[in-house]
This record gives sequence, C-alpha cells and structure tokens, in this order.
Amino acid sequence: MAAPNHTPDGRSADAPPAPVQQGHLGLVPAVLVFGALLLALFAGTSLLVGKALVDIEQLATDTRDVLLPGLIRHQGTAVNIERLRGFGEVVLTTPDPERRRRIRLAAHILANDSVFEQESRVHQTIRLAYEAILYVARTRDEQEKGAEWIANRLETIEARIEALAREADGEQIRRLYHTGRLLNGVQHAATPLELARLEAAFNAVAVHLPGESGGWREVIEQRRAIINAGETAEARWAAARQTLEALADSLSTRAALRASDRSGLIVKLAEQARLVGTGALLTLLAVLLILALLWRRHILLPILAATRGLEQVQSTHHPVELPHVRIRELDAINRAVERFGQMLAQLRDANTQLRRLSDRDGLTGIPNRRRFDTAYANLSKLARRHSRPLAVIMMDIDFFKAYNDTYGHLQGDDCLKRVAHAIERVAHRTGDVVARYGGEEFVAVLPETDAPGALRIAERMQAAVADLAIEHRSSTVAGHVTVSMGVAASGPEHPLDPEALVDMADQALLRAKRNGRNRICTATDGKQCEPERTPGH
Amino acid sequence: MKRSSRPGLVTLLLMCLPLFVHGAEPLRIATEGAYPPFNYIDEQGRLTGFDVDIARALCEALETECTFTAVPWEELIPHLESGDYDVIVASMARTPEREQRVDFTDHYYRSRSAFVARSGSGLLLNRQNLRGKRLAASVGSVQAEYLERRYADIADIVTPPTSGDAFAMLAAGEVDAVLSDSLNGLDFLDSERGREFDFVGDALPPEDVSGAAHIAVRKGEQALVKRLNRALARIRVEGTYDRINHRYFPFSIY
Repeated sequence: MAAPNHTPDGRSADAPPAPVQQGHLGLVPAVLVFGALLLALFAGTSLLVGKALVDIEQLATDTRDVLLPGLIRHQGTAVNIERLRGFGEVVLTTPDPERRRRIRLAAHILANDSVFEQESRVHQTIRLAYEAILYVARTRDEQEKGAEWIANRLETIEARIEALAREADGEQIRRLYHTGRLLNGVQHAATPLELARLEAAFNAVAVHLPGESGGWREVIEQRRAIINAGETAEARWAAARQTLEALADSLSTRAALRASDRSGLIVKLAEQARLVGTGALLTLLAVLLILALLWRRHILLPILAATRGLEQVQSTHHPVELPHVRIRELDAINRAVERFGQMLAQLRDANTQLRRLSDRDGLTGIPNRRRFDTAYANLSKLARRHSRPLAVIMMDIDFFKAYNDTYGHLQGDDCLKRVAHAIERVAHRTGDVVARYGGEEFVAVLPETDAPGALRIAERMQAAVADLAIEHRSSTVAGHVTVSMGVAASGPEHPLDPEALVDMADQALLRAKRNGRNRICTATDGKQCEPERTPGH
Repeated sequence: MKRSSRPGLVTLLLMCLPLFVHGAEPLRIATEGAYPPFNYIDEQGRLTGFDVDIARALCEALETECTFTAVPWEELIPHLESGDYDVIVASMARTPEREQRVDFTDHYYRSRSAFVARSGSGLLLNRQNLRGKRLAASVGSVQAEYLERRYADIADIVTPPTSGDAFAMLAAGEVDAVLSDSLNGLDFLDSERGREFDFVGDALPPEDVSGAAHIAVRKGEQALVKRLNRALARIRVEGTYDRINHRYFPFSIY
C-alpha cells in the first residue's frame, strides 16, 4: 500500500488528481480481452469441426462394422438364391437320378440354413422354392418309375402280340403289329396332343381286338399321368423360380440403395466439415485482420505518433499536440510528450527572454554595448575575410548634460528613448545593429554598406533626429536636440581595416564635435566636415 | 586366423531378429481331423478341409506362420488349456460348459444338425416312433448331448469317437439314425456308402443344437480373440472366405 498521504503513483494526495479520460482501456486488460475472444473463437471452431469429424468417424466406423458386413452377408444371400435357382433347373432337367439326388440334398441343406437369414421373408421364399424343388424331384422319381413300368408292360404286351399273331390271319396280324407300334409310340409321347393322336389311332384299331386291348390301354393312361405330372412340376418350378428372381432383384436394389445412401451421407458430412473448416478459417482470418487493424490503430500508430512528436519537440523546441488514444498507457505517453514539448517551449521562451534582456539596453530597448561589441566583432571579421564593405556610425547627442540639467533626468531619459528609436528606424535593414554605446552615445554598424551609403544613412539619421524637434533651449547650435556623427566605412574605394572602424568613427565624431557639433564627419574627411543642418532643410 | 569360435554380437542379434518381427512365432493350431469336409486327413495323409483352409487364410491375414496338429475331439480342450497349442479350429460350437474353459471368437460358419437314416425307413422324429431305436452321434459333440438330453430315456444312445464311426455304424445297420451336422451328413450321403440314405425329418432348430462354429483360444487371451476376429472380417471382405467356401460347398455357409 502507498504511504497514507500519497496516491499510488507517488504524487502527494493534496495535489488535484489527474482528470480521468472517459473510455480509456488498459493495455493488459485489452490484450486479455482480445486473447479471450480469440480463444473462444478457436474453441468454437474446434468444437464445430471436431463434431463434424467425429460424425464422419462414427459413420466410417459404422460403415466398416455394420454396413459392410451387412453388404457381404447380402452378397452371400444373393449367391444362395442364385444357387438354389440353379439347383431347381438341374433337378428339373437332369436325366441322371444320382445327380438329381445330390442336388436335392444340397438344396435341402441350403433351404434349412436359410433360417439364419436376417429377414424372415427371405427364409420363407427360399423354403417355398425348396418345396417346389422337392416336388419336382419326387415327380421326376415318379415319372421314372412310371416309365419303367411302361417299359416292362410293353415287353409283356409284345410277347402277347407275338403269341396272338401266330394264330391270326393276315388282316389281324397287320392290326396286331400296328397296335404294337402305336403303343411303342406312346412310350415316347411328349405332349398331350401327341398322346391324344396316338390314343385315337389305338382306339380305331382296338375295336378289332376284343379282350386284350382293355389291359393295353393302361399304358396310355400311365403315359398321360407321366406327362401331366411333368407339366405340373414344370409349372410349380416356374412359379418358384420367379419368386426367387424377384427376391434377388429386390435385395440387390436395396443393397445398392443402402450403399449409395451411405456414400452420399459420407460425402455430405465431409462437405459439411470442409465448409465449417473453411468458414472457420475465413472467420479466423477476418478476426486476425481486425485485430491487426486495431493493433495498428490503437497501439502502433499512437507509438509512432508519440515518437515523431518527441523528435519534433526535440528539433523545434515547439509544443506539439498529440491525439487522445484509447489505451491508457499509450495515452499517458502522449500526454507526457506534450508536457515535455510545452516545457521545452517554455524553456526556449525563457531563454529568448534572457538573451533579449542581456542584449538590450534597459532604458531605450535598443541593443546594448555588449550586443554591439559582439555583432561588430563578427561583422568586422566577416567583412575582412570576404572583403565586403562595412560601415560604422558613431553619434552623440549634443549638449545632453545641459538638457538633463534644464529639463530633468526623466525628460532626459525620454529624449534618449525617442532619439534611439528614431535612429533605429533609419537603420532597419537585416544585419544593421543600432546600439546605445554610452550615456548619450549611440553607434550603428552597417554591413554591406560603403562610405557613400553610410553617409546617406547618417544624414537620414540626422534628419530623423531633427524631425523629432525636441526643444532644447540650452543648446547653442539649435533650439532643438541635435546629434554629432562620425562615419567610418571600408569598401573597395576606401579600403580600411574593418576592425579599426569603430576607432575611426570615434575620431570622426570627435572632429564633428570640435568643428561645431550638429554635423557629420567621415573618416576620410579632412578637417572640414558637413555643415550643420537646420530644421526645414 | 583370429576368428573366435563364439558367435559374434551381430550374429546373436540376427538370431534374435525373428523375435522382433511382429507375429513371427508360429500360431499352433489344433483340429480333430475326422470331420469331413471340415477337417480330415486325405489319401496322402495331409490334414485338410474347410476348417484347415480357413485357419490358413486367417494366419495369412495375421501375417504369421501356423502349424497344425490333429487331436481326438475329447482331448482338444484339455491340451489347449495345458498350452500344447494356441488355437482350436474344429467346427466347435459355443456351449456354456465350454465357455467356462475357453474363449471363443465370432462364428465362422453356420449350419444345422439333422438326422440321417436309410431312405424309405419311415423313421419319424417323435418320441413314439423313436422308442427303442438306436441313435448315434460322435462323443462329446453337441449332437450327442442333445440325444442324451432328449431321448436317453426311450432310445439307445451310442457315442462313438468320431462322426465317421457313427456313419459306419449306420451303414452297417448297427444304428437306426445318426444325428450330425447336415454338412457333415451331406459328405456321407454323397459318398458311395451313403447312397441308400437320406435326411429324415426337419433339421433341428439352431436354438436346440448350436449351429454356429467358432474358434477357441485359451481362457483370458482376449487380444488373440480380437486379432482373429479382425482377420476373419478381413478375409470376408477380401473374398478369400468365399473362395474357400465355394471350394467345399455349393452355397454360402457363413
């Protein structure tokens, strides 16, 4: 805890607290908040994508563990249905009873094992088809037995016909053998129509063979029974085969549908995951972009502005204005830079003030002797180095002591001020320095000024003072305040030592004073100088 | 020559290499060898059959070698327990009693049991008709257990060592009917001896006599069970199972 009388940042509790800006954000809280937002976005995205991926994994696992085995089982069922169909065809068509038996046994087991089928309708259909196969097998067995009976019977009938033929006449013999042939034909009759024709022929002959033919008709009946049984069996099998084929079709369609549905589902889920992933990525990019912009606006640019402001302050010593920034710490930096700028400006102003004070004459406000000496030293050196014209005018207010005695010191001060300002106004070019050299003595140094120019300026100064028309009844040269002036200039026509100009101007001033005052004497003048001026000229 | 007679370090490492290769220890498999067409010894004396071929396919899927031994039916489980081999592939059904001694994989085929008797014998499968008859099933089989359970009080139950023995007795007229798996019965019926015989009655409901054949491993070897199940699923998907199936049977028996 801070000391009782101090606020936590060390300032005295008595000082007014700094005004709290509205809406300022601390850097650390800001970073934490954004970090938390980013984390939340990340977590949300991961959850969504993760969920989609989990769904896909579940679906893939289900496909591997449930759908695929189911499809393989279905394949087994399809194979068995097809095999059973084949068995039925073989049992129906094979003439080999051994083969028929073996196939029937296989069909028997297949039908029994169909109890393991997942769907009972498959089991039912297969069982019923097997019943048909069994029926066909039994029918074929019966048919074979029937055919065997016919064969045996025909042997007996042929023996009988032989016996009868020995006792018969020509016509009867012919009829007997014809009957025999017909009955042989019956043995191989394949269709009811064929049988009917043979039967009709038999009946036609049989009327002439009383007694025997009744028993021989049995062969025809037996053959009919065999043919009918065969047709029934074929019809029964045809129906059963149709049910098997329909079942196989529906199963294969269903399997194909299931597989296509599943693959469609997987594709859809994968697309979902892809979309979510892409959306999340784009959102992430957008958020990062926004964060980058925010960072730039609220952290980077303020820091750069503060740095630039600091440089500017250091180079110009001028105060600088910096914008308000949301981040508290950065705003504090900005305010500190501004205060620094203000401080430097104040320092600079104070500095300027000081220099002005040290360079100015307190009474008149024009540069003082010190200032003149420095300026003259520099200007004379420069003039000498570069062989430039330089002029110095020394002047002195005539009978100033008498003025003071006559009008008082306050008025004397006022006179000094007015004269100073008047002559300063004349030498106003940049580089000209007009200074108070002594009590009532003034001096001006004029760079880039040759003798004629300096003389002209001196005349103007003299005129300016005369125009002031300050009453001076104690002056013996005029009724107003006048000045005596000495001019010294060095230039191409009058090369003089620039550093000796002050002395020379001083000498010239002396001569002006001796020659009657209120006049200008130049260093190159002889003993004679410019005559005195009177007001009005 | 400065070569040492001891095997160098590299040689030792190379000898250990088979141990580092996954699944290089051969899987020792036992079967009965007297249960055609699932497991039997052919004329050349080789152990062969549907069970054997399936087991070989599983070993290939597991990328491991395997060896086979024929063991009498009643000794299969005891020798498994004592560690003489690792796996039994012998058309074994899953019963509560067996579950207490071994762990089983998923089924690898399904079939139903049926009675086989002389064609036209008129044998009917009801208690009335079976009274006094002699019925056979191989010893220790679920069929034998079924006969004992259902008909021991009214009929003679005979349990010879193998199903082959039972069918021999049937062919010789020493028993009236044999109860066996119908595919095993088919093998008999298709043979020369079996021409006068046929299935009689309905096949038994699978609930009464288990129709599913499983592979047995020592109790606790759940990792091996998982591996075998995965291998089984794999050969089903690859089509290897179907190929072996149709080599022995004219329809799918899974």
